[in-house]
Amino acid sequence: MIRSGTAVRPPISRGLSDRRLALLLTLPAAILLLTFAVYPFAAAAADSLFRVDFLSGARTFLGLENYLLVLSDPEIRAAFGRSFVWTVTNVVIQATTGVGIALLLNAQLFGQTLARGLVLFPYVVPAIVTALVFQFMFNDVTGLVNYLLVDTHVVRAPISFLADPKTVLWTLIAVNCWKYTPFIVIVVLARLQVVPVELYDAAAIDGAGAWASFCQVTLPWIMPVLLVACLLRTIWTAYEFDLPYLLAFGGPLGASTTVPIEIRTLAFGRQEIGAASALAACAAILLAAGAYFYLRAYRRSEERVE
Amino acid sequence: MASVRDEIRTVEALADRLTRNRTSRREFLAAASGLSAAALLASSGDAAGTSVTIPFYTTEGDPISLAVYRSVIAKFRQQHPEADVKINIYQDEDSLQILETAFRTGTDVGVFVAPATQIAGWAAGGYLLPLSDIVQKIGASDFLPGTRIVVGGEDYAIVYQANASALYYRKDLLDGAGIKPPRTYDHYVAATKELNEKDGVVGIASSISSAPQQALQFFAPYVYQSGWDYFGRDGGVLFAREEVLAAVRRYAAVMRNTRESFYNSGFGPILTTYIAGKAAFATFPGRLGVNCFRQAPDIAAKTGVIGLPAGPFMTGRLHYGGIQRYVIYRKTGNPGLAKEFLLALTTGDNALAFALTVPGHLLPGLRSVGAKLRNAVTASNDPYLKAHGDWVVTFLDLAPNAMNPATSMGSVHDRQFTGRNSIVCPWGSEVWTSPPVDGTMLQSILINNADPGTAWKNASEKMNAIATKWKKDHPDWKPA
Amino acid sequence: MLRAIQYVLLLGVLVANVLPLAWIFATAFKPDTEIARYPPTILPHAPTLANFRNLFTISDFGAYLGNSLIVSGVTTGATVLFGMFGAYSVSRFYFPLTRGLGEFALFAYLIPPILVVVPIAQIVIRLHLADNLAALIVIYTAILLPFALWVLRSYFRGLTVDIEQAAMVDGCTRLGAFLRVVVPQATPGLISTGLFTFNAAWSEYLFASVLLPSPDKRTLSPGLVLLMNQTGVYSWGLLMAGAVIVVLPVLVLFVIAQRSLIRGWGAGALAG
Repeated sequence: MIRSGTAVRPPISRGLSDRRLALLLTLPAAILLLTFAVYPFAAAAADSLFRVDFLSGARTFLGLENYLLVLSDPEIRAAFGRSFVWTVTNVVIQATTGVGIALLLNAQLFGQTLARGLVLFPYVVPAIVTALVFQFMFNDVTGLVNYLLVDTHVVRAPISFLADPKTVLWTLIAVNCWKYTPFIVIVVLARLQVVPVELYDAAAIDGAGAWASFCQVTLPWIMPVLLVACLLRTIWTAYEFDLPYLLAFGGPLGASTTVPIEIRTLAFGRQEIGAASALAACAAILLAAGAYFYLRAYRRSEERVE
Repeated sequence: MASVRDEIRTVEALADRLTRNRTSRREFLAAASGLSAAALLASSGDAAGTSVTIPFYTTEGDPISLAVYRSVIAKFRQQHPEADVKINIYQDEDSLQILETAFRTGTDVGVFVAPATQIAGWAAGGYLLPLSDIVQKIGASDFLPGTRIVVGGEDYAIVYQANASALYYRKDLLDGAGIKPPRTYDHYVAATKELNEKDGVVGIASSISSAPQQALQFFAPYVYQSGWDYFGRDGGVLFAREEVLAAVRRYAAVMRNTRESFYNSGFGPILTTYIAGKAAFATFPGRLGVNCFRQAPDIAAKTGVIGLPAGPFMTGRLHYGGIQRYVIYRKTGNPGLAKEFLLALTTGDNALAFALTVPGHLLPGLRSVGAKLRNAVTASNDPYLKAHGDWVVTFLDLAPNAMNPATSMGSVHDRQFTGRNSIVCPWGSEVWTSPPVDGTMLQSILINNADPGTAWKNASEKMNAIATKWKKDHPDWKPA
Repeated sequence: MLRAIQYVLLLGVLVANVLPLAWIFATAFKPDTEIARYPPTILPHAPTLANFRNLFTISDFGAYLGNSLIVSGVTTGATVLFGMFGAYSVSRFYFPLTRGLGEFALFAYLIPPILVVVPIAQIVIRLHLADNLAALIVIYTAILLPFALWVLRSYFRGLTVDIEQAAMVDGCTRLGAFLRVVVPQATPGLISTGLFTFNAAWSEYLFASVLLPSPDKRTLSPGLVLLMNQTGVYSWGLLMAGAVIVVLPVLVLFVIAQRSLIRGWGAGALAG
């Protein structure tokens, strides 16, 4: 069994004291984060209480007016709904598929090395190129997807993936999963490299089959890392702008307008920085709430591993 | 140092040859690219006397256009050795982000492209340098109508590009079906219907999307040619007129003769579809012709360009067009030199060379440059101009009456067209937002099969609500 | 039987992932006239290197590549280094500063980047880093640190403390134990973090385009976008060639580095 040992101080301590060492090690990171992450965050959050002049930055205090404006707008409420569907579906698909693929790449199959490299490809293609390529592929006149679907008689008429309000969100989710699943794959795969073999041996001795050993050994082992990866993906997916916008422009008829698109419209379309910040703050609160649950699960999963 | 001077002279000579029609655009580009940017920028390390830097922010990232700009800068530096011009490039979509950041951090943006809808507001806010003296130097009458922006009696912008979106058609497909190039709407819509899905070709390549100003581009001509505009000079909602409903029906009828993916796509598929030979008609500015000639010369050989017959009023003569202008930051380091540079950039042979980089698309907003362009078209050895100079002429003819409802509010009123104006629609950012009111109307008709009358009525009411609310919030606004 | 299913699945995954890659590569080697054709050709009928040649002569792609290499390389080094130190502290020490670092680092991601561009630009100017690649390096490191901290923290947590204790009993300082014992064991985590950091810096668009608009300081992502304009693509072949250049280095890095991911934790470490 692995003991955590973190509650135990080392018996002898030479060199720098723990306190000073901790300070030294964390100071650079702390400074960078305070300057470039915490301060801008605070500035943007503060903006939400003002009307900010677009060019001069002059502020007039508005109190919670921006928030009222933002939360009472039916289109923005609809955007929240779509963002919820978008985020949850994306993360669930990416997590399950990602773990599956990671296991596949860990199964000592022939060609594993090359496969591990290639599977990463979608993640490294810039969003703009991805959008162009898929826009080209999904086009119902010259696109490859419809060409194949119709040629092989899977469908009779070409499908307009990105122009039908019923299919557009799912098409975008599919493309988004294509691009970002490798993130989960790599993180989980790296973690799978350091699974102590004894755990599997112990499980085998206890008579566990493949599925049981997955549930008892593999899953708890990767859970901390998987949760962190999913937390990050949740936040990043919620704010994803480039890929969905470049493919469908928030349409048709607003069917794929999510919160980041609304934020962008408010900030640069109508030059209401304050309102955009208020909307972002609302989204941030929801995400922080989600993060709280992730963190709780993370702590529990860490204890299980130890 | 001597070699850099030689190189600058070579670029100068090339630019001259380009404008005097002895070099093709491709040759110019090949030669100009031989001079790396480093060479030109290294010349800015010429310590002797470089004391002023003029920042230049442009959205023209097209490699050929950029090469022309670099040669213009090289020439300018020869005439003004104490000056250096630093190019910065950005995308149109990012322009507000970049400009906002620059303004808020006090960065000198020198000569830059300002979005047309913002210029008047920024001028009034004191962010822009008055340019009336440059306008006088060029000659006020040289400016095409609607290209000047005057606030409080002063000019604030110099136009560098004013184009039009027209109708491309496949001569061979029309001939094959015994159809003449359409001069009336009825013939046009019948042609798109007849040729749609014939031999795997779509009737028309044109698109709508939820992007703010896209539906507008291809729908505005229908509104104009119904004898009306979206809004009037006094802010009235002309969109609510019955004739505009007829325009909506006409547009929808044409757009039914294509595939559904066009109902929510950007500009790219228009080009790829037409250039692949899979469309009988297409609506687009000059760039389609240039790209088509480069990528599929056989299709280009079978292509013609005419005005879009979209309605009964001034049929085929009122179109959508975009105007782009340079402005100067009020607190720029050296206003005098900045103005000199702007003048050099937008007039004479320099402007002609720029216009020739994407002929027919980058159309000059000055009559004198337009005249030079016409001459260049007839006299040039450039393969594109020799083969399709007629397209460029067509665009040149259409450009003066090509407008944008957001920035030429009320140019058409009750079957009267008094020339393009430069009145900005004050509530435009709420009408043409994401998704835009007109785009939503058209998408609901074409995708959800909504009744055009109902959709149009909803859109008109929405526009009315927006305009009314804005006027209430700004009681001291006076119509132009 | 299970093996066969696994192979089929693996093949399916590879095809789905790689098909667009193949299309991009194939298109990069086609002349524009062939790209525009319909029906689309899969392999180039008349392969050409013209697109790549044009890429480096007509546009300033060479400069973009160099800039991106510098920015991404330094960012990765700094992020992994500071992230490693920080994550170690968070997982071993329980001082308030270290706790705060762990939890609050996530705040960085809760506001969409477009709304923080102005405050960050103001800081950059005040630090006299305007129009300097160093600005991007500092910003990227700051932005990627929370990610690095969180991923590395879970790696450090999972590694046994017993070995560390053993090393310190043997006479190492804490720092020495850290460097000699902990770091080697965390290598897979460090490598995967480094790879993601490199990729994130390599493909970042917003700050690079807003803060460094001059052609000689541009990085690859905004440089690639310059090959298009608002009304379409100047040249598909050129754009795809650019995409190949953008994608290839990271892909190669991943293929090479993932060998080190295989080197797992030595089973014999605890026995000794």
